[in-house]
Amino acid sequence: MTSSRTPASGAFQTLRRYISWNTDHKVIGIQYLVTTFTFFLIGGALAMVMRTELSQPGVDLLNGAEYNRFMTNHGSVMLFLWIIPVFSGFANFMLPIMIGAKDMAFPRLNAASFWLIPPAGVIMLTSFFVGAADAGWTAYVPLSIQSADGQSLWAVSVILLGTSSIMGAINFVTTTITMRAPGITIWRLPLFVWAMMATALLVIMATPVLTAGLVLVALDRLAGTLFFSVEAGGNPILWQNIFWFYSHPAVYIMVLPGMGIVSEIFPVFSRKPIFGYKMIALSSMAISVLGLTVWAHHMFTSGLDPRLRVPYMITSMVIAVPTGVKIFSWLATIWDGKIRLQTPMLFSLGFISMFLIGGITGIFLASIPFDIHVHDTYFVVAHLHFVLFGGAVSAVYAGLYYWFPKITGRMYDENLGKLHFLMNFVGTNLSYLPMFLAGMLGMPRRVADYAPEFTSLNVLATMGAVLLGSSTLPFIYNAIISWAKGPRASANPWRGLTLEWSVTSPPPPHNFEQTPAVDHGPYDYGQPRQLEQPASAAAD
Amino acid sequence: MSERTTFAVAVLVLVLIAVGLLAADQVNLLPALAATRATEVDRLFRMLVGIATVIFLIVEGGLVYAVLRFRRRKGDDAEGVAYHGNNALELVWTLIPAILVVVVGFSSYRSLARIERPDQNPMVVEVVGRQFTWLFLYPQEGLTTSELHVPLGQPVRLELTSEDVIHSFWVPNFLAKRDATPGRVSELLFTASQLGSFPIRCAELCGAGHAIMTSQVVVHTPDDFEAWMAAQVAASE
Amino acid sequence: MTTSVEHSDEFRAGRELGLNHVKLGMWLFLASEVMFFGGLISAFLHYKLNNPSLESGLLDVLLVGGNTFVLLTSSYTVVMALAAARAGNSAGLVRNLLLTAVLGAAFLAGQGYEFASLIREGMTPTSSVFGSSFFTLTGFHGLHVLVGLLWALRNLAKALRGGFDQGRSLGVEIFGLYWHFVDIVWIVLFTVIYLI
Repeated sequence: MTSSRTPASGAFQTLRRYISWNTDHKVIGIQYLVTTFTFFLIGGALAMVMRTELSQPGVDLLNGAEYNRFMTNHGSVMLFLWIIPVFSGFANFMLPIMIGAKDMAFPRLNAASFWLIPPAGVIMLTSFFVGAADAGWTAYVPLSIQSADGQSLWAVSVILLGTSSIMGAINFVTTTITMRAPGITIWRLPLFVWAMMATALLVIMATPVLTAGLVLVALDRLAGTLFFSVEAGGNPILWQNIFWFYSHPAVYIMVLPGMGIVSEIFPVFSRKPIFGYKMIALSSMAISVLGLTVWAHHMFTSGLDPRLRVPYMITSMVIAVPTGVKIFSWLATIWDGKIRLQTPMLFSLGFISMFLIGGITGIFLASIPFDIHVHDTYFVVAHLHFVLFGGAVSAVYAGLYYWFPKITGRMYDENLGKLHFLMNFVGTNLSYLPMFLAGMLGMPRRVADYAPEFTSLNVLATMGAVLLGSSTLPFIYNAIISWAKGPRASANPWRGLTLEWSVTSPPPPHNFEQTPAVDHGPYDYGQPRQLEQPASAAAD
Repeated sequence: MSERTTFAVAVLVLVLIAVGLLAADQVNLLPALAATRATEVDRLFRMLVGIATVIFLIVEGGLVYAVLRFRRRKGDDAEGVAYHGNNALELVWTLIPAILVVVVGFSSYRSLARIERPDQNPMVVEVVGRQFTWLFLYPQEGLTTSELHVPLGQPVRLELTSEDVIHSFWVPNFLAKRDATPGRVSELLFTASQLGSFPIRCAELCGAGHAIMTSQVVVHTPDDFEAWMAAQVAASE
Repeated sequence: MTTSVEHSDEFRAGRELGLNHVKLGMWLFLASEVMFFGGLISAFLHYKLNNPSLESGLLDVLLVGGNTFVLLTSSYTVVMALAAARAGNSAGLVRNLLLTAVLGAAFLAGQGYEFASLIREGMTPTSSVFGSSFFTLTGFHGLHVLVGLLWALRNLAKALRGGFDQGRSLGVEIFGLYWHFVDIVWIVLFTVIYLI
C-alpha cells in the first residue's frame, strides 16, 4: 500500500518513481504531462515533414499515399495523444488540491487511466510498420475499411485512449462532488474545476459513441461484417453521424479545460476578481450541453436531406453566445487591473487573441451557404489550428508556466518564456492565416500537391511552421534546466488565492497537513472600488 | 456615463460600423465568380466579413487597449479594483451576440433557400467519382466524358455518386460543392454565368490520388455547346 | 496512513449530499455504457428501418421472450440478495447470489441456442447488414452478462467467506446496479430487435 503511494518530490533522482505504477495523483499528473508533451513533439515532427512537402507544389518528399499516412497520424497523435489527455494531466495534479482533497476518489483507477496511454501510443505509431492508417483522423468509410492493417491498429489505439479518457472523467466528477473540503461550495469552486466538470460530462456521454463506431469499423475490417459495405446495403453516412457525434463534442473537450486555466490566470495577473464568475461557470456547462447538438455541421455537403441541416446551423451559431460571454468576461477581468505581463499571462492573452479568430471563422463555417464552398478546404485547416493551436495549446503553455513552480518546486526562466511566447504567437499566425486564403481561393485539404497558384501561401505557412517548431526549443530547454537547477520556488510566487498556492512547492505527500476549511471564494483579489472623489482621490 | 464618454463611444461605434461596411465592400478573397448562385453566397460572405471585422476590432482592440492602459507600472504593487460583475453589462454582451446570431442565422437560411431553389427544366448530367477521376454522363445523348461541358446560362442539375469511396465534387469558381457517396445519389444545382474553363477539385480524402483528382468545367456559348455535343456524339459512333 | 475517521472525512462532502463515491462512480460508468449501447442500437435501428431484411423472420420471439423472463427474474434475485445482505442474512445472500448466477448462465445458454439456430439457418454476422448488426448488438450485451456472471460468482465466494457480514452490503449494491443496468439494456434490445 505505502509503496504505491510514494509521493512526488519533483527531482531527477526520483526518475524511477515516474516510470512505474504510482497512485499519487501528483505523480500521475506529471506522468500525463510529460508523456503527452512527448506525443506533441512527435505529432509536430510529422507536421514538419508534411509542411516540407507542401512548401512546393509537386510531389517531392512524400508521395500521395505516404502523405496520407503522415497526415492521418499527425492529426490522430495531436488529438488523441496530446491535446485531449494533457488536460487530464493538469486536472490530476491540481483538481484534488484545489478542492482541499488528499487525492482522487479512485487512485488505482487513476493510475490505470494513465497507463493505457503509452501502449496506445506505441500501437498507433508502430502501425507505420504494417501500413499505417491513412484515412485521416476522421477515418471515413468505405476508405478506412480498405486501408492497410495499420488502420485496425489505429482503431484499437483510439479505443484504448477513449477508455482512458472515460476512466479519468469518472474520477474527476466523483472527486469534485464527494471530496470537497468544508466551505468549498459549488459556487466557490475554482473555474478550472468547473471547466473540468463540464469536460468530464462530455467525455462520459460522447466518447462511448465513438467506441461503438470504432467497433463497427474494426469488425468490418477484421471479421467480415457488413456495416459499411455498400454492396450489402451499408451506409457510409451512418459512420459520419456516429463519428461526429463524439468528435464534435471532442473539440470542446479539447478547449474547455484551457478556458478554465486562463480563467485562473487572469485574476491572479490582474490583481482583480474574475468578472462574472457565475456566468463563466454556467457558460462552460452550456457549451458542454450545446456541444452535443451541433455535430452534423460537419456534414453539410454530404447530401443529407437539405431540411435536416438547418437545425444544426442554428445550434452551431448559438454556441457562440456562451463563448462570447467568456471572452467579454475575461476582458472585463483585466480591465482596471494591474496587469503583469509574465509568461502565463502572455499565453493567456494570446489565447483570447487567437481563439477569437478561430471562433469567428467558426461562425463562417456554421453558415451553410458559405460552408458549402469552404468545407474540406484549407479554410477549415486554418480554423481548426487557430482554435486548437492558437487556442488550446496556448492555454496549455499558460498552465505549464503558471503551475511550473508548484509542480516542480523551481521557477522557470522568464526571459526564455517570453521568447517562447513571441515565437509561438508569430509562428501560429504566420502558419495559419495564409491557409484561410488558400482555402477560399480553391485549395482542398488533405492534399500532397496543389495548383501552382497556391505556392506563395504555402511557402508562408511553411515558414510559420518552421518558426513554430523552433519555438518549442526555448520551452524544452527552459523546462529541463529550470526543473533540474532553477531557483527554488516559494509556496506562492504569484500570490494566488486558490488552494494549491496555500501549500508548499511542490506540495507535501497528502497535500494538506490538515483538511483546509474555506470561507471565501477563490477570486477575492483587489481592493474595493473607491467612490469617485473630485480632485482629492485617495492614493491607491 | 459622462457626456464626453457617451460622445466618444458614439463616435467609436460609427467608426466601427463604417469600417465594417468598408471591409464588406472591399473584401476580395473569393475566386472569380462564374455561376449565378455564387453571387448570393458572395453577398452573404460580405455581410459575414463586415460583422466579423467589427467584432474582431472591438475585442482585439479592447484587449490591446487594456493591456497597454492597465499594465502594471513599475513600483505599483497595489491590487486592482475589486468588482465581481455587472448585471447590466453581462446582459448586454449576452443579448447583442444573441441578436447577431439571429441575424446571421436568418440571413444564412434565406441565402440557402435561394441557392438551392430548384430550376425549371435543368439539363441533367450524372457525375461519377472514381479513384482518381471524374466521369460525366449525359443521359440523353448517351455520352460519357472526362470534363464537364455546359452551355452558358443553362440551369444544370448534377446527380452525383461514386463507384468506390466518398469523393467530393467542388468547383471553387461556382462556390459549390457536394459529396459523391457510393450507394447514394446527391444533387447539385448551378447555372454558369461566365464563359471559360474552371477547375474541378476533389474535396474529400479518397486515397493516394486525392490531390490529382481534378477536372474542368468548360462553359460554352449555347451554339458552341451544340457543336461540341454533336462532335462528341459523332466521334463515339 | 490515514485513520478510518480521517478517511471517511475525505468523502464528507459526498456524505452530506447523501452520495457514496463508489456508487456515484458506478452510475457514471453506467451512463457511459448507456451511450455505448446507444451507438450500437442506433446503427441497428438505422438498418432495421432502412434495409428491411427477410432474415428478421428467423428470430425466435418465444424462446428469447422466455429468456427475457429469466433475466428479469435474476434482477429480482439480486434485489433479494441486497436485502439479505443489509439484514445480515448471510444464508439468504448466498442463496440469492447463487440463483442470480444460475439464471444469468441460463440466459447465456438461451442466447447461445438462439445464435446457433440462426447460424444454422444462414443468418450470420457476415451474411447481411441485419445479421451484422443483430449479432454485434446482442453479442456485446452477452459479453456484459458474462462479466456480470463472473462478478456474481466472485461475490458468491466472498459471501461464503463472510465478506459481506454485519451489513457491509456496498459491494452487493454496486454489483446490483451493474446487473440491473444489463437487464434494462436487454429490455430495450428485446423490444427493438424482437418486438417492434
